[in-house]
Amino acid sequence: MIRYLLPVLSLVVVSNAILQGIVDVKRLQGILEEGVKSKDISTLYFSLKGLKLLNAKIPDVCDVITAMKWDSDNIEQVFHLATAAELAGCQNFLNPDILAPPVAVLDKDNASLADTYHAIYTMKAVGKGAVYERESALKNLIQVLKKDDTPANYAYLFALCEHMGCQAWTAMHAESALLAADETDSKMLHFDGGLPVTSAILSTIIRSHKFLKKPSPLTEEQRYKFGAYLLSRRSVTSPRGAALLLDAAVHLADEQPTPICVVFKDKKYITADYDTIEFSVTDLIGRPVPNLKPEEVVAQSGTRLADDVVVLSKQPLSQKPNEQTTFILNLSKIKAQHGLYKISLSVGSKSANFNVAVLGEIQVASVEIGIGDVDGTTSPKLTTVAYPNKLAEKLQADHLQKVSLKFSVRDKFNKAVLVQQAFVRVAPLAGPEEAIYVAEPDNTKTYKVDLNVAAVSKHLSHASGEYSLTLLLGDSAAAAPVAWPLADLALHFGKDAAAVGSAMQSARGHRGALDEVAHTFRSAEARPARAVSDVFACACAAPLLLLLLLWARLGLNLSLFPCSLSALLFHAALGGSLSLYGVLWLQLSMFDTLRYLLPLAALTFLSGHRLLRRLAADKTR
Amino acid sequence: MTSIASVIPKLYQEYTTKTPKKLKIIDAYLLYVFLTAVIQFVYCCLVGTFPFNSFLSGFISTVSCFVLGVCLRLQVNPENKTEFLGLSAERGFADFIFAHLVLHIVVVNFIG
Repeated sequence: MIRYLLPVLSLVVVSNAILQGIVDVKRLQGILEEGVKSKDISTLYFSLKGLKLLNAKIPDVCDVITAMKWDSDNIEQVFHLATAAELAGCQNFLNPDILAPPVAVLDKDNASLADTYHAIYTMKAVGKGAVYERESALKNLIQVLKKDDTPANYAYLFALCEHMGCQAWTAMHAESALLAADETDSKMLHFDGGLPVTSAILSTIIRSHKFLKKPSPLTEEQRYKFGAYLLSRRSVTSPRGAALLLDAAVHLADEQPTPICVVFKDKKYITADYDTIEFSVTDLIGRPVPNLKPEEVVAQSGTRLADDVVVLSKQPLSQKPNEQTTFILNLSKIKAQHGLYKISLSVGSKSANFNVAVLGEIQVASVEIGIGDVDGTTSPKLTTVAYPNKLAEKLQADHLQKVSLKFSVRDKFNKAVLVQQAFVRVAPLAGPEEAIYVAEPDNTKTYKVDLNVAAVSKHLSHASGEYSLTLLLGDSAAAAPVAWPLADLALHFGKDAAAVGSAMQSARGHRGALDEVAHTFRSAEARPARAVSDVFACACAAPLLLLLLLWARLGLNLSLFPCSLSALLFHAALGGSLSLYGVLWLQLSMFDTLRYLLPLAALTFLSGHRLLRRLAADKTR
Repeated sequence: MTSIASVIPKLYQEYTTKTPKKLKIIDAYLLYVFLTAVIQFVYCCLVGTFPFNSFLSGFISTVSCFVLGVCLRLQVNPENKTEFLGLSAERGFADFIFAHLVLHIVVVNFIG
């Protein structure tokens, strides 16, 4: 079991171990050389310190230093001035008064470690820093440290020890100090206080161990993690930052085995013409990795990101002649198929993944364009256009038609390919508007776009006029994208349209009162001739005659008509009601009619009631 | 089997002799209303229904009159006396008049 697990574990540990980036020493040196010209004491000090680290030429700044004003209460400023003078080799130009502030600090009982450090190193810079009673001095300092054991104070004490010759104490406490470092994302290590503290602790510990000829207390993992932190700060712009970064990076790079950095030498892509990628394999500050055998640099595997197909394995890189740090990876095997690839590169026992793009040329082929009816009654007449020419004739289309476009995208070997972005842009010949449509490929990798002119209309403010049609193709693995003005269109959007330029108004919503809605009656149909109507009117009246005739035959008469008031009133009121209905038909409104009807109805009811009661009473008698 | 030719005169004779005179008057009225409705319908079939509301009100008027007439006949008929105990013929006639007044105000309003 363990036998199988081990390779897996080691893979996990070494993955991404290689640092992907280097500290650009040249750039930092440029910052420092600019900083030397500064009139600010602290800028000047850090610039000089950085240049000294690089063993670069230090310009003559003694005049500037002599002319500097300093504040005797600010021990840090005094320290910067004195040390800058020492670095520039002009201690003799300093005013002897400069010794007063450090002496005053050291006479104090409760001086902080920072002040003590600055005071002692000021005296050392002037050549008066001899320390007596080393043991008791260290004891006192440790007492001060115990009160406030921050990483910064450790750094000051380690630095003081270098001067006092107590590096053994540093070596004893280095390991526990390093354990106090903060970790970010389990990738980086740094100390509370940032770059100044991290830089000071790393450089003092490494220097002290070197002095004692002891092996470094930094584990390999710590070296890589501190390296990763320094790389994250590599974009510093101030001389102070540059000097601190260089101090730490130079010391860390001097460690053995040094953290390995691999970066792309110049470009991260290959084309059909240029099929090699150069990696530079260096230490943290761009120097060749010592004891690195060229055959140890190997591309372990390469996979295409799109489909995870493995395209190469265990391909050694070749070292470039005359350039010890440059290694060349030949990718001629995979240049045919463009796309993104992941290369896993290993240097010695470390490895890292790099993404590489294989760029291919794309070209548009078999482009056909034409106008057809939306309802498909006529098939579009297609015209072939060749890249990069423009269609000679102007295509005319109205809102009942569509513009059909077909094309395919081919690579250098004339094989149909798909691209990540394929668009068709319709825009007026003049004016800021545009409408962009996506071209979708079918399963034969042919792109087809049908632009329904009526649907396009609303994206272009219904403005009829002249438009240009542009084909846009792009892909992250394409060497050059395509933007091809393919044809000019004259589009007519029908009656809703406005002219190009005037535009817009018709698209806006309607405001204010709407038109009044008027009810329209059903229009009269043809009526029959007058004669027909009259005949039927008589026909309807005819049965009335029949009725009277029948009643007459039955012997109906009015001989029994009761000649009482109620009978007369009843018949008169009933007749009046029916006549009122006739008047209603001819001219009155319903409300008027009801007003007149009410008394008539009451009269009819009362008289009718009386009459019928009498009739009933007569019958029973 | 008695032929139809012999039945009809017998039926007619029975009707003339046995039906009270009041009912005969109402029957005459019903026949008149029925014939009017038929003539209106024939006109509608020949010429068309426009204006539709006028046709409807005329036709509905005749149908309703017929129905009301039948109701009156039922109440007045002496054979149905047991059915309408406490409701005299005069009461039936008063209802008939009232229903007609309500019917015709609606018809006139609808005729347009």
